[in-house]
Amino acid sequence: MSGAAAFWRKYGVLFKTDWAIMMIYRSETLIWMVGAFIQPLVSLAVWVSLSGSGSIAGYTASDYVLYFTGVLVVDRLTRAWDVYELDRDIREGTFSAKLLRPFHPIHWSINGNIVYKAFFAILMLPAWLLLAVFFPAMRLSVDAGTLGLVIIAVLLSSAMRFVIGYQFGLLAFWSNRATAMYALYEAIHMFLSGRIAPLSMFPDWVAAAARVLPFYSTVAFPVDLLSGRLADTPEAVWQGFAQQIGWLLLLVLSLRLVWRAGLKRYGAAGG
Amino acid sequence: MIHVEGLSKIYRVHVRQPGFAASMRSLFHREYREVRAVDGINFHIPEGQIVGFLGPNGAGKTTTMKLLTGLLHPSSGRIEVGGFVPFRQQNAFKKRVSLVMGQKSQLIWDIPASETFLIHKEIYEIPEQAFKERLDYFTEMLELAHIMDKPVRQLSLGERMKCELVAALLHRPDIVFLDEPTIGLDVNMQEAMRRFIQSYNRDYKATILLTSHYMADVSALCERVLVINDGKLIYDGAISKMIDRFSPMKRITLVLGAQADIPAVEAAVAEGGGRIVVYDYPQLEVEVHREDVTSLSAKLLTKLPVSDLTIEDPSLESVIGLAYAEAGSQEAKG
Repeated sequence: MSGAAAFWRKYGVLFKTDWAIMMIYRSETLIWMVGAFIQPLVSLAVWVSLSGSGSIAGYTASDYVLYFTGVLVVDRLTRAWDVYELDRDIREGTFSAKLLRPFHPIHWSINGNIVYKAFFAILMLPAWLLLAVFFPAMRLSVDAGTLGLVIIAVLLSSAMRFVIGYQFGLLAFWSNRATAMYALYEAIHMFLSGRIAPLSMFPDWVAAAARVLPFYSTVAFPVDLLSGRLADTPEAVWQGFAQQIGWLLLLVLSLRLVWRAGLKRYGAAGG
Repeated sequence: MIHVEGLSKIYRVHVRQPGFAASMRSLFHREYREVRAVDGINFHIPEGQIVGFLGPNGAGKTTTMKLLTGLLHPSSGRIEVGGFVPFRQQNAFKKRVSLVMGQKSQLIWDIPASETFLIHKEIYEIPEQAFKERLDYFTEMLELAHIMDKPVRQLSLGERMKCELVAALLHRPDIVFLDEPTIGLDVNMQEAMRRFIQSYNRDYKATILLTSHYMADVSALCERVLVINDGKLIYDGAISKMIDRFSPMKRITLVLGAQADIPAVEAAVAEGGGRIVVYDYPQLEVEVHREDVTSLSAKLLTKLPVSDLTIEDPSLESVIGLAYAEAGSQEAKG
């Protein structure tokens, strides 16, 4: 068996296992998925009522509907939750079982992300199509090429957010407050990634910072692509991708460093 | 196969005082204390040997096991296991070793153990045929047939431990660390585990290091024991020699056929160099240095109306107790 084939067989069996576990807990998974809709829906309701029949910061009520539905889908498909599992595994020492196996523990987490996000996509995308039949505001005006770019942007964002979340999880090697630090990061992310409002609503310097740092490119960028806002500015599209790729490379690099330093600190608690 | 030289592991522990005020103070001023969990130990285990690793709770057994499997980085010293440096965590190393912790599970909780076995098949790259053969071997040895397809959370502790062992040994490691593999199991199950460990060692020439609080495990499986106390290795050698070393006394138990008066009994015992532990007619227990056992027995047999006589080594438990106590008193002196 070649190395690559063996590698994919490992992912295959992990995928099957995680899928089976998810199906055992399918109602919990659904509740979890729907729970994440609340924040974008509240934001949507606020902005739609504020904008009335006019527009705020370049968005009409119907633009807001499209924007926040986009946020809801993109956020759900890119958000990582590994910090909670890692934090628990490392503090309680259950991480040991994964470390002892000849397959890097990060693959278990990557696989978990693939399984749950595939499940979300299977439910959410047909739901969008169905809603678009009834609500004209949710119909997309972009071509197939752009949709392809949206998929790539969502995958890259998912990878970025995963690598960020995983590193926050690894902080558990040093501190028992890893999840608290992550919660703080998530609060900042909520504002700067465009989840609470489009970035054009913020002061210029805040929006500029959000574009340079890995915030805008994780949520608002794929949403802007999807809603057709970047149709006339191809340079903004390439900038967005360049930032995603650049940050991803940097983050992967720092992940390697944090991983190595963290393993030395590991206490493998419990016996 | 396992080589350890000058191995130490020092933990830096944050000292926490109880109470709210103390916890607020610790936000600004943290106190640390160094704990030497393992303190300069040396040993060598050749291929195929089963070695018992003994010591009181907190002596450093589990920490040593974690160092040997690469979970922990040593603070100083050298470790070589199967030609590898464990903490480098190479996959080739991980495919040759296994660690079973009686208190920690590596099985996936919500699904049957057989699913975890399938994951191990792929992760350890076990060929189809070999996987089938090994699983058959384990199924027969451990009588697993009816439990393998039940979700792990529905298994009893004993059933789960059997499955843990299978998950740990499917890739046929030649170096196995067993940390309390029989903890919490009933006597029959302990016996089954012991037989299994023995045959795994015999069939695959596996090197096994085993900790247990049950002396029956140790005396049934190990010719050699390492005793660790307070991070230091205080004994390395055969079990029988350990008894000589830490307990030079033997115990003679007599059953007297007729009442003998106390002064007569005392005189006979003292003359032979022994000491009375208990005299509760008809039972008499005497403790004596092992070199005086024969002469004392002879004297007692002639001078007292003995109807039964047995000579025993002290139990392994009490020897271990003596060993810990001796190490403790040396510590106090030194």
